[in-house]
Amino acid sequence: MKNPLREGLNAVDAAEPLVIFIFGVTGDLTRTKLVPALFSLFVNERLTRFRIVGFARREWSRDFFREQVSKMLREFPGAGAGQRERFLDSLEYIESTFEDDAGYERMNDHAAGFTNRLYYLSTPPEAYETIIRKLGDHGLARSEAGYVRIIVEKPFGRDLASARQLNALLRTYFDESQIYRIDHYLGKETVQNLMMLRFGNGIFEPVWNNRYVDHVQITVAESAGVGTRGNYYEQAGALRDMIQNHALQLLAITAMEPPNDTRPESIRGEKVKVIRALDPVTYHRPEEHLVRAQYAAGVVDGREVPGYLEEDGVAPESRTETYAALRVYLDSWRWAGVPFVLRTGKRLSRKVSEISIHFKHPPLQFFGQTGNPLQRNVLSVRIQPQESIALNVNAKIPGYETAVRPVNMDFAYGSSFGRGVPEAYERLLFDAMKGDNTLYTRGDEIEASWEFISPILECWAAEARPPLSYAAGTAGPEQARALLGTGRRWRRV
Amino acid sequence: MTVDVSAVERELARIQRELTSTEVRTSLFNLVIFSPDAEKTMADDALNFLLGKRAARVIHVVNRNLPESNLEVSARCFVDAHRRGVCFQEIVITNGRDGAGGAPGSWVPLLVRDIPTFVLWLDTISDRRELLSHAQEQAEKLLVDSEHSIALGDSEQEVLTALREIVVEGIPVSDFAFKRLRPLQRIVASAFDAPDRTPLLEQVTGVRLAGVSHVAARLFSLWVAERLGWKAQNGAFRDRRGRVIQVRHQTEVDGCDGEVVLELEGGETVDVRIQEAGCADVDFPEGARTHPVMVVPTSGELLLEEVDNMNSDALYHAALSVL
Repeated sequence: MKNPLREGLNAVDAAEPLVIFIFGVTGDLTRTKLVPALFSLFVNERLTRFRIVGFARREWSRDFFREQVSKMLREFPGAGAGQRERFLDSLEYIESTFEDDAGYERMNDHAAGFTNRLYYLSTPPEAYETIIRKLGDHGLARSEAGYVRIIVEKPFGRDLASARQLNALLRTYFDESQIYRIDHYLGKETVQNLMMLRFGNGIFEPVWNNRYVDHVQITVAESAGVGTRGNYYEQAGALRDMIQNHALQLLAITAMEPPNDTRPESIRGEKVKVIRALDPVTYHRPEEHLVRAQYAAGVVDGREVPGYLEEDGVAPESRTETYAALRVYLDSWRWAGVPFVLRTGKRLSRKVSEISIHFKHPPLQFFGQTGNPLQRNVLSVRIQPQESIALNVNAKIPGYETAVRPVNMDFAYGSSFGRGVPEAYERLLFDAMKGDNTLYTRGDEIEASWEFISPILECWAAEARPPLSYAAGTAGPEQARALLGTGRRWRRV
Repeated sequence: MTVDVSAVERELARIQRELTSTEVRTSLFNLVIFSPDAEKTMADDALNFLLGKRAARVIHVVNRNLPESNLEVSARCFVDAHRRGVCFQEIVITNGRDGAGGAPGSWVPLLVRDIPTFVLWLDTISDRRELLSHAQEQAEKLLVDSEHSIALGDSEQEVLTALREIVVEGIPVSDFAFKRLRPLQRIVASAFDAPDRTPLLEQVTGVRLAGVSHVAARLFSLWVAERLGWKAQNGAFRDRRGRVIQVRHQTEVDGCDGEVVLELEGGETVDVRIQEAGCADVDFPEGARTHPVMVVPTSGELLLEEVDNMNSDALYHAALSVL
């Protein structure tokens, strides 16, 4: 029998009591993302009864772990001392290697009093297999009393074969409904708002197709170099690091068909159809559709920076790409013939992630004959920084002549809503606690994306020529301009 | 009184420029407050809580016993963590005996178009229906405090009936008197969350409330009645089985800040006593006791919550339907 008094009263949708195990808790992700996200959920009453158990091999005590987290919380000036104390009280630590059974045997003791568990794999990907097997073999992957869920950080595999292998391993011990493959781009407010923009408004969807859209640009640019991650990046490259996951996720949300409803499976089902519709022409004719490059020394934010080959941990003869641009097509009724151009790169002029929809010109251009050609209307969805949506339209310049200039109608999150935008990890962690995997990537979607990316990787591995070069602090190699074709330009980074 | 909209806008812009040299956040909404002079402080308290949190155009129509209406313009700004100004553009219109200040023609042109308008009504309702009606016309949402209106002289029945009519018209209404009950509602609801306790709701034969205002007690009992399917009948309720459910209320209470007692068949009770320092005691028939936290939100907190959502208070609407 349901409690009729309860209905409508839960204004704050809090997570059920749970214990969160963070594997690799001593890593940087804990400091930069996980602790801030969990603490914010706690302060906002989304996380009420909980325990956070760090699991790592470093010789940390529980007190030392709390001390470290306490330092991380200093950046939350708004929170009260009592809230900090309560949060710190919830922390525990298991010192163990990922191979040592003793560590896993202690987990049940640390979960005493809780029936729900969330595992977070915040470790190098090489450790995933061991942890997953150990969790399964120790009977920690399932529970009759509550839920058990596992969040797996990217990279999820390094090619199709390894992604399939990891999926198969996870499914040996966990059901798909328990597995949460995180891509933090999907947790960003603007990305979610893109679905609202498309399917919550009547004016966009009718023109969201090859009849009205000329092309779509997706940019994930960074001004930072590889920094201390040279060793990792050498094994990854821009295609694996950004395109296979973030850029293809953005593509999927931009191009997906309207789902029947908002259930996770409906949305994820539509997304995977987009990835499967990617035309292999991209890797069948690589010289026309692909550009890869490496950054050379240059100037970023006013200071000189070294080239990729001079970075720590990078082989002097490395061919790893730090920039990748692709022209892709979708074999679908809606998008046939519309180029989607994707680019990502390190050490570009600035950090910016955005999707821009470039609309076709009007069929008859009688206004553009006075020397100022009409610009295409562009709907740009800025994901970071400064989340915003802007529509670029042509307007008459006041005066006696009919002169035209593009103007922006924009909506900035920060000034349009008076509240801060939750961090992506905050939203995604909360969703995992609530059992909503809409914003997580499904196993078949990951495999579909690798099916498209792996031939490109093979193609580049077989390529005799080294990657192109671009100066740090620029918009990337000029050869990437050709991907757009005549009459089109990349948006400014 | 003459309202020169352009002059008001120029003056607001000038003051805002003087107050902050940083980029200023766009106003998110209009907030139009109607109150008698004596209640201006209450309105200011609620507004102060919002200051620096939300940028807004605030138009305060204050009834004063002056021969003529007049208008004053001011602004208050805070610079937020992102170094952007969060401003209140404030226009105080004194509605004098000439009634010109309260007329829609005086304040409607000052609303920023194309952003939501919230009307906070801190005045009597029954004798100002016409003015309220004009305000409704402009409002995306009406915020009232029935407890406050009754304290100013309204009759409880008239206020609740008027609010029900507004709700029926489809205008989202939020009543702070009902919103203040939310923590108490949560505690009473949670007392029946356990599967073995939920069936006790079928055995409720009476409700006693003490230490709260009469209208708060009425709203609380309307909520329980609607949730449990009771029908109003001659000042009491009749449950689904046809039994009469009595609701008793007393303003005074001993030993605590307030009390809600749900009387059960057989003379047993579930007793919620609101204690000082933000806690409550819940006593169950079998002798168990819990101590949940109970913090009643301030008017400022309620105002912030309400201007952040455009939705109706569905529970309130449902409760009024039992009237």
